[in-house]
Amino acid sequence: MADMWVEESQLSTEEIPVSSEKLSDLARRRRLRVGLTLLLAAAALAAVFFNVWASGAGLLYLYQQAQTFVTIFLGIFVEAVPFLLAGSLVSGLIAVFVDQSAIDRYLPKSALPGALVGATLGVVFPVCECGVVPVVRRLYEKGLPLSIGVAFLLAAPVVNPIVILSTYSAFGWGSIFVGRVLFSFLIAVVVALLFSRARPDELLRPVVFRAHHDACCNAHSHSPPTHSARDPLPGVALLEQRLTRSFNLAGDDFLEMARFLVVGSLLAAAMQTVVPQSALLSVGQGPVVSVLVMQALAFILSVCSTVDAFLALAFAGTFTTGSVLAFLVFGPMVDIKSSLMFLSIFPRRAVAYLILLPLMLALLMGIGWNLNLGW
Amino acid sequence: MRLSLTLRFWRRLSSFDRTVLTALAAVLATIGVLLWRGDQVGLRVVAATPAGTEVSTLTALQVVFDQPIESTPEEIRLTLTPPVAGQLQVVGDRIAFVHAGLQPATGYTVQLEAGVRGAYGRALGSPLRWQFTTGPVQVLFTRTEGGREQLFVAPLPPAAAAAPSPARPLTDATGGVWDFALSPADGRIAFAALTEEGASDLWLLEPGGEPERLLDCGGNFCSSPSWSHDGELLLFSQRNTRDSGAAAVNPPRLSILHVASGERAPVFSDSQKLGFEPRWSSDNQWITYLSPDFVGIGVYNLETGAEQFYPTQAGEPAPWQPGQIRFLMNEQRAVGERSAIHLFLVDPVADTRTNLSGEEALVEDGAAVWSPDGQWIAFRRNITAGAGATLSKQLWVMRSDGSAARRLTSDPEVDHGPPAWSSDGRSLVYHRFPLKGPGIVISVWQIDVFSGVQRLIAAPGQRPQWLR
Repeated sequence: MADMWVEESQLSTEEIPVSSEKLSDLARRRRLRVGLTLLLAAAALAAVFFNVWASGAGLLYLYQQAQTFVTIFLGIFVEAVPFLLAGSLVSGLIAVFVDQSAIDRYLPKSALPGALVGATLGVVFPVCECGVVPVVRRLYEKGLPLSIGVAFLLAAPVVNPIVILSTYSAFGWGSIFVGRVLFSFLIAVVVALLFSRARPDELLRPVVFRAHHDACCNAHSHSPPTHSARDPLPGVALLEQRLTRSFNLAGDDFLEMARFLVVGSLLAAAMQTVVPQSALLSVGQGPVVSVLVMQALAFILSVCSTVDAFLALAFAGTFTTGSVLAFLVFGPMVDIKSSLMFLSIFPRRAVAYLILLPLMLALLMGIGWNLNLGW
Repeated sequence: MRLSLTLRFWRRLSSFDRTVLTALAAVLATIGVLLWRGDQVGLRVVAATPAGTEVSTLTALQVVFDQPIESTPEEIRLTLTPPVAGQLQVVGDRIAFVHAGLQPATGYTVQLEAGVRGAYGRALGSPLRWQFTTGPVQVLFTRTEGGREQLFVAPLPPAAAAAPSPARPLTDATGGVWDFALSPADGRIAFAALTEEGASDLWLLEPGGEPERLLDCGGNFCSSPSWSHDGELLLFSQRNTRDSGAAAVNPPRLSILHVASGERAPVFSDSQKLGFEPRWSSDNQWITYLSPDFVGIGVYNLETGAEQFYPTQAGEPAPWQPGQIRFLMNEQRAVGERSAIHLFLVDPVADTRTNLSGEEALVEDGAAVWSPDGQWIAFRRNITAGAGATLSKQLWVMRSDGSAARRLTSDPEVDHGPPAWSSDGRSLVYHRFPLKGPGIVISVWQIDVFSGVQRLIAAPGQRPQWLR
C-alpha cells in the first residue's frame, strides 16, 4: 500500500525514471482496475435487466428507468452547478488576491488550533460540499496547513450560516439542530487532527503538492517567490487585469471540477436508479441498521447540504434520531459526487480515508445516540 | 507466519496510515462496546391515555410508542385495577384496550408490564404505570338562557333524592348551540355554535375541558355533526352563505373532518349532491343521511362509493343497528283511508325492508334509537285512531324485530322527546313537553325501562343525552 502511493506520486511527476519491473506492475494493476470496473458495469447491467425481467414491462420499463436516470442526474447536477461556480469564483479570487504571506500570518500552523480554525472557516466562506473543493484546493496551493484545509473541507458544508439557518427552519431549535452543527464540527476537527499527521506529499496530489510546497516551504526558507500561472500578479498590476485573471482561473477551476461533478452525478443517478430509495428504507430501522441505511442514502442521494435538512425532515418521524443525524452530518461531508471531486486535491488513499473516517465517526455518533439518548 | 506478514505490512505503512488505521480500529472497538452494552433507551412511550379526572367511561385505553409494535396481544400483559373485561389490540405503533365500559366515578390504575417489543428491536425496559379517574354518570342537555340555547350537564341524583342535582353550564356560545353529538369512543362533544351573523362553526369539548373551535366554517353554516365509532372522523353538513336566503335554510352538503389533523373533504365527488343528518354504521364504512335531492334516506358506502336511496318524507335521521349493516327509518304511508308513519328496518345489502310498526297500525312512530346491544329499540309513538289514541308522543320500546312492543309512558298531556339509552340498556333519558299551561317548562327526565319509574333530572332542559 505504501509502495503504491510512492509509485503514483512518481508517475505524476514525469521526471523520475521508472523501471520496467515497476511498469509491468503498474500495467497489472491497471488491468485489475479495468477488470473491476467492467465487473461493476456488468453487475449494474445485470441488475437493470433483472429489474426489466421482474417488472414484466420490457422496453417500457427501460424507457422509464432511463427517464428516471436523466431526471435524477439533471436534478443533482443542476443543483450543484451554481455552488461549484460560486466556489470556483472564490477560488479564482483567492488565487489572485490572497497573498500566501497572509495565510502564514493569520492562520495557525499547529494542528489543533488549525483544525479548530478550519472547522469554523465556513462562517466566513459559506460554501456547500461542491463549492468548498475548489476553494480548499486553491488555499492548499497558497500554502494552507493541511489540518485547516481538511477541517474546512468537512465542516464548511454544515458549519456555515446558510445551512445552519436551513437546518433551523426544518427542525427548529432542538437536539437535531444542535447535534448536526456540533458533531459536524467535532468530526471535522478529529479527522483534521488525524490528517495533520501526514506529510503534505503524502496527502496532496502532486500538482497541488508542488504549488503548496512552493508556497509554504519557499516562503519559510525566505527564497524568492515564484510566479507561476497560479500565483498572484505583483501588487502593481491593475485591478481590472487582476479581476480578469481571477475570472480566467475561476473558469479553469470550474471546468476541471465540473468533470468530477458530471461523473459523480452520473454515478449517483445510476445508483439511485438501480437501487431505489424505497429499497434502502425498507432494509431496516433498528438503532444500528437505520444509521447505516441513512448514511448509504446520504452518500447515494448526493443532495446539497443547503437543502438536505428539508429532505431529512421527511424521515424524522419514521427513522431513528441518530440515523437522521447521521444523514445530516455524514451527507454534507461525503457523498458520491464530492468524493470524486476530492480526487482533484487528494490521492485515492487519502480520499478513501476522507470517506472512511467521517463514515465511521458518524456511525459511532448515530449508534451512540440511538442506544443511549434516543431523543 | 501470518503475524509476521501482518507486522511486516504494518511496518511498511507510513506513520499517517498507521494513525488512521489505529483511529478506525478505535472507533470500531467503541462501536463494539456500545453494541455490547446494548440498548439503554428501550421502547419509548409517546402517550398513555386516558389520564386525569372526569375521563369518559367509554374511553379506550391506549399506549402509543415511538415505533410499530411487534408483540402480539397474547404476549402483552396489561392489568387494570379494579379489573375490567376487555380485549387488547395491537395496531401499528399503539396498544389499545377496548372494553364495554368503565365504572363511573372510579379511580383506575393501569400497568403495562415490561417486555413489549417494537418492530425495530427495542423493548419496553420497565413497567409503565399510570392512573386516571372516570367521571360520574351525567346527563348532557340543552337549556335556553338569555334566548340562547347552551349545553348543560347534570349528575344523576341519588336514588333517594327528592330534588334534581344542580346543572352546570358547559358552553357560553355567543349565538347559542345549534346541535351537538357525543363521540361514542371517548365522550367528546362536537357542537355547532351559532355566530351573530347567522352562520355556525364546529366546536369541540373534551371531558373536563373548555370548548375549542374545531372548524371555522368561514361564515358558512356547519351543523349536524356525527362521530365515527372510533372517534377519529366527524361527518357534518355545511350550508353555503353564498346561496340566497338565510344560511340555515340553504342546501346542505356533507363533509368529513379528520378531528386530529383538522383536514376536511367533501363526502361526495359530485359537489351538487346534497345531504345532512348523517349517521355512521358500526364498522364506519356505511353512512345514512337525509337527501333533500331525492327526498328520502341516502345510503352510501364510504369505501366502495355504492349508493342507494329509500324514499320518505318523514325527515328523520336513520340510525344503524349496532354491529349490523341495518338501519331504522320511518316513512309515511296510507293505512286504509288514513295516514300513518311506520318504522322500517332496512338491510341495504340484501335490499330488504321490514315494517316494525305493523302493516295496519294506525300510529306515527319516530325518533327511534337502538339500545347499546342492538336488541331493543326505543321510539316515540302516538296512536292516531282507536283506543288509546293521543295527540302527544309517548315513549315505547320493542325488540329489534318489532315484537314485544310496549308503552313506557302514558301521559296524554305531555309530549315526550327523543329518548337516549343508558350504557347498561336499563334506562332512558328524554324530555317532557307539557302541552297544557300555564308555565310550560320543558324538563329532562330518566325512566327505568323495566320498572317504568321516572325521575326528574333537570328543569328546564331538553334534548338529553347520556354523558359517560
